[in-house]
Amino acid sequence: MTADPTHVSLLDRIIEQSLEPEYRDAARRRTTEVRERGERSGSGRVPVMLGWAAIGALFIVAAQQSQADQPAELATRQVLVERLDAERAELDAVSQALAEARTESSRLSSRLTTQTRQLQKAADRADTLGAVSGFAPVSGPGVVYTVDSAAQSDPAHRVQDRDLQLLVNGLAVAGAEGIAINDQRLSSFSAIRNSGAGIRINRVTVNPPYTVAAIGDVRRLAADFVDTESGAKWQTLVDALGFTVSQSNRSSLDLPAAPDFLLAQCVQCGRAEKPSADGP
Amino acid sequence: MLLRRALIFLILGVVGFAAVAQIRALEGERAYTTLRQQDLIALILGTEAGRERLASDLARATEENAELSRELEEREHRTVVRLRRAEGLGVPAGTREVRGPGLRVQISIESTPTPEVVHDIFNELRVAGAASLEVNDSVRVGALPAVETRDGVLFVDGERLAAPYVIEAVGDPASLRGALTFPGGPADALEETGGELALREDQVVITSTLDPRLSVATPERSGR
Repeated sequence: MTADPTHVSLLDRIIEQSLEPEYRDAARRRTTEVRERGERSGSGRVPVMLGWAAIGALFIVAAQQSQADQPAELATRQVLVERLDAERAELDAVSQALAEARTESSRLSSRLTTQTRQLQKAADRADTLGAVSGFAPVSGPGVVYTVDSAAQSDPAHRVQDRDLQLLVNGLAVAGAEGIAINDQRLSSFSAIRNSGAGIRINRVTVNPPYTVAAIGDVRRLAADFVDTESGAKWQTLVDALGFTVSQSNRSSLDLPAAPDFLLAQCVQCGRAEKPSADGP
Repeated sequence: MLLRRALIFLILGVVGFAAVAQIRALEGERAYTTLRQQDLIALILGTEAGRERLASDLARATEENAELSRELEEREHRTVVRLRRAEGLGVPAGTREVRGPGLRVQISIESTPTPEVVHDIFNELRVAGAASLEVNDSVRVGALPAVETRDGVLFVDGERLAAPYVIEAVGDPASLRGALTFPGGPADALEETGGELALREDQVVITSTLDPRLSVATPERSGR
């Protein structure tokens, strides 16, 4: 390469001029001095070399130690990072499971609301059908008639099934919505029949005095009953046979349900068993 | 001069490569490289605590869901029971059609049958296990049939009826027949007054229904 200054590149110039001329001169001077001094005392070189060796050894030891420490620290760090990764993955999994559980919860809650409404509807329907058919308890205002045969009456003058049937039919025509005789509720499967000295209803024999409880509009029921064909016949019968009859309006009557076994013998009714009184 | 320049280029190349390699290595170590060990440990503990909190929330939510499921299942079961009950009660309540073997009872009489005669027949058919009764193919007989005669006309539940008066009953035909024909029973009683009960065992179809409506009576609410 030619040292033509006009063609020297920037890089070359930087390299060329990196050392100031003064430094160059000083360096040259020192080299000459050392050379001169070394020629003067050749034995003084040994301690210098030992010093250099010690420094070298120190560096080697330090480097080795640094080399030995580094893997240990790296390994610990690696374990920690792996642990953190695992923890984060687990956190994500739990978080996702929780989100799913919350979704499931709102789904279940809405299904429960729907189901509760359906249960309500089904139960209301069953209760109403039970009330009209006589297979569920009902309550309401009404009239209670207490009927007994005349004292010391002969068997022919006793209160019989047909007599009570007359009373019941008259009350039905007058608008009664539920009737029970001595707590035996009259249902679609019930009959009123003589049984010895008593009367048999729902396979149970009831004895006088007969308490006929009818739910209906108290303002009209008793009065309307008197006006019915059966009511008139009943009054004639009461007068002729000397029955003792007392009648009272009640603001609230509770009629029981007819026994469920009457339903059970109805094959067309399917499995209409009474639900257990469970739940809130 | 040429040699020195080549050497410098080589050194620069090596330094560049080293820098790139270092950056690559740093990228491989992800975001944690800026953290010290203590920071990493703190982060692990924090994550662990957060996870434990969420896990206990999850356990509670899972338990609540199980409770909801149980409740839902129980309510579904109760709904089925109530629906079945309502379905079954449709027969005595008179809201459902009923068909099956049974007995057709025709009351042949000069005048109009009295409410007593009609009730007598209802009673005996019920004792014999009639599942459902119907008069003149038009009036379903419920728990409290209202029977009356007005001006020689028979009314059942306010419905005007004309001859021939026919009561149909679904049930065991032989039992139903026996309930009417026993000595001193409804058939005999009617014959004494010059009338007659014509009985025919048959397939009976009862299609008339009752409106299950109450105005003053309140059904007791069964468990929901």
